[in-house]
Amino acid sequence: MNNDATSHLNEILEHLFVLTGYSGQDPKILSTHRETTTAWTEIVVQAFYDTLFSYPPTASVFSEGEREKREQMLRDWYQGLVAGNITEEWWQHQWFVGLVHIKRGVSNIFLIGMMSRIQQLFLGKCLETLPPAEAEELFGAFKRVTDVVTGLIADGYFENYFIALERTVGFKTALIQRMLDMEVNKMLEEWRNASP
Amino acid sequence: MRADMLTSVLMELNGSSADIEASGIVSTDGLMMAALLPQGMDEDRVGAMSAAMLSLGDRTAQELSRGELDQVLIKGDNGFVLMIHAGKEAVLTVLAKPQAKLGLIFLDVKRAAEQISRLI
Repeated sequence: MNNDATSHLNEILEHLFVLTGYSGQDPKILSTHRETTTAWTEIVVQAFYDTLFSYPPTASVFSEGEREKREQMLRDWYQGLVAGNITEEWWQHQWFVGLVHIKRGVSNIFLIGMMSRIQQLFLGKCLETLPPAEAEELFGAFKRVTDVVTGLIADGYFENYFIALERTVGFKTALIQRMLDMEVNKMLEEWRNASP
Repeated sequence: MRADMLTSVLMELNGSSADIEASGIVSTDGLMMAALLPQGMDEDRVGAMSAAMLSLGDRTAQELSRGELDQVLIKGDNGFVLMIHAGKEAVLTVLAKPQAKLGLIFLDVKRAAEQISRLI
């Protein structure tokens, strides 16, 4: 990552950490329960891909015979996460997932929907396995980390559109922002005029 | 003060040929610095479009190995739009009539762009 991208990533992380309440304690909590949560890997992986493959718009993202490879990627991601291996490089990697999503046509709607699915599944397993206070603590840590991941990937997705435009046609971010502002103002005006 | 000086360069340019209908100076990120535009023409839009077209021209010239961009010229049924760098941070945009003598206009526009670049 170049310096600009690193400082942008750090800025986004700072906002997300403050707003979600994420702290360095969260990876430690995750790590404490790693044995229990690692055992849920196959349940998470199977539910995730069963959901994606049973819904045509998300199933269409994948090519034939790809499921096994994708499952292994999710397995690695989940196990690294619940082991609390959350480093600077790990966050950088999440940012680049946004690029992969653009390339593969994985919209932010799909991302948010599926992250919610994982969180719900994880919550159910926490409540089923642990005493309420521990379940709440563990799920809280998992939720904060995965919410930061969602924010990071979603922002990366959007931000990389700007970067790609600047690189291909030379439009500065400030210019694109100006164009957006103009059109958004126009749309808001049209919407206000059309509202009863 | 500088805005007044920029406007006076535009007035001089528009006065140099009856074929020049309007002109404007825009920052490379699309902000209008000075403009003499026909009534009803949206300054913000002209600013954003000028900056976008010049950026695109710059990048096209570079990607297709055409060297440094000199100008971007658009021809429509109702006339021409000419865009040229005025220093590194600004764009001079000129609207001209369809029958305009482009050779003379190019010269006047280049001179004006040099003046603007010194002022900015």
